[in-house]
Amino acid sequence: MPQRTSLIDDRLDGILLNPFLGIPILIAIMFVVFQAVFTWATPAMDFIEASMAWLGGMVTETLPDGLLKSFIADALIGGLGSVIVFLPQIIILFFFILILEESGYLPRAAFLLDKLMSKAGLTGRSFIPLLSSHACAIPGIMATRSIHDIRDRITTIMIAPLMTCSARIPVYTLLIAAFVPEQQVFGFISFRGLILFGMYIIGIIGGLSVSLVMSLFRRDKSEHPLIMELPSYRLPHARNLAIGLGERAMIFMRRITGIIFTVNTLLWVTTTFPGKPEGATGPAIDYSLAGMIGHAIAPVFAPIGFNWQICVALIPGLAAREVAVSALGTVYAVSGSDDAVASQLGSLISSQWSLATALSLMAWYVFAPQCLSTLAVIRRETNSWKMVGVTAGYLFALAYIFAFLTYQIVSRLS
Amino acid sequence: MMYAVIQAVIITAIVAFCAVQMLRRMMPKLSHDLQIRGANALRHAGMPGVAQKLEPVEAKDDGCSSGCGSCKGCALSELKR
Repeated sequence: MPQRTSLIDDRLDGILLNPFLGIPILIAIMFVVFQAVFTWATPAMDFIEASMAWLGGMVTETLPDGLLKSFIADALIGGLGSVIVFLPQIIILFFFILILEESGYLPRAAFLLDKLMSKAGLTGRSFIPLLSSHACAIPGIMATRSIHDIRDRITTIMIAPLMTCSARIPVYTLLIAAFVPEQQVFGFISFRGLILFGMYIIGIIGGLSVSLVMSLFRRDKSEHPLIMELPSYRLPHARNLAIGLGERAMIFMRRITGIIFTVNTLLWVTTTFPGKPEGATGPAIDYSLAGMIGHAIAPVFAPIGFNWQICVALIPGLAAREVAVSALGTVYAVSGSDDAVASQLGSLISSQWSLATALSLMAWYVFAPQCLSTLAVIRRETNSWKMVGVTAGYLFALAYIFAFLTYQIVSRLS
Repeated sequence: MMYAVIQAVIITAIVAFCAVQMLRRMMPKLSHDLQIRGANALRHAGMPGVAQKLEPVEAKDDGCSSGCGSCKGCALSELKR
């Protein structure tokens, strides 16, 4: 390594890895990232939303009434349109993650957090898998292969689904935008960005708490020190950033045209058939298969404040978390008389749900394993159905308990 | 009337495609078995060309990206004990 580079590294490390300054700087960096996710993305999101509304209006006016019009307006524009709107936020989030990765800061963040993680029964080696889990739990769980100790690996696998993956962003931002007023704290901090940052922190605290509880039940209390070589600092390459962002955008678009389109189409079938019987007075969706299922399971979720529409959205949402948003878009578009309603899901739910219901759904999404692919990869990585059962069981239990507490407390306070 | 038929055909095709995709994703083994059975039935019915197209493509390489699960954490088998 050239002497000059080494000197620069030492000077930067002196500040960024300082025992007193290191953690506050890390928190400040992450805070700025989530502020930017909310504030920078707004113009692009408004543009996509307006385009979807225009497209929905055009389809409604042009196509004659019938199944095809309902499919395009409710399932495609109402469902997929409500997810595609979050593309700018996902790109901005990954822009910052890629910069941190390229600059050589991420391994230093692992080093900084090693002490904190060891107190929670983890090692610094768990940092990279857990950080990857913020993109998606699947590569995060696969990245645990670099953890040699089986005990640490299993703990990391079990808490990886608690990290706030990018699939949760559409759900969180939909609810935050619908229920949190757009205002500034101290004149320059976006309140919505602050709440989103808080959701990430809650996920991390949840994961570390579960790990701490697991460590209390361990027989082997030995610690495994983290040994790693820190790379030199370097300026991120614009080309590498562009390629990385392009890949993330492609992954998101592939999910929209793949799993989200597939699930949404099947959901549209269940919300449309069987049709409204002659002489029936209620909305058509009440007589559909999805309506019947939603009403049947609604009593189970009533104590946590979920209405039957949310219950319907949770089922396809098991395929992928962000499907719940498109599913809500489809359910409300099918049940509403106005087709344009689908492109304004946020304003619709803010008028129909209580704050307690919205916060309860957010609490549910912090913990619930609403992703079958994650459970499948846990099975593959651990070679054990028991691990899948334990992980899904404790996550669903935590989700229900925290959603229940959130709903009951907020209902009583408001 | 004609429009109703056309839209029913389009919707049926899209829904059938999505149902197959969902089956492949959620129940890969069942989907694989169904493909083999369907291909055999078509071969018996004298349509070997269609049968060959329906037959599932077997993964040839055994790298981590092949989806074969050759590196599925065998080291963790002691967990089962």
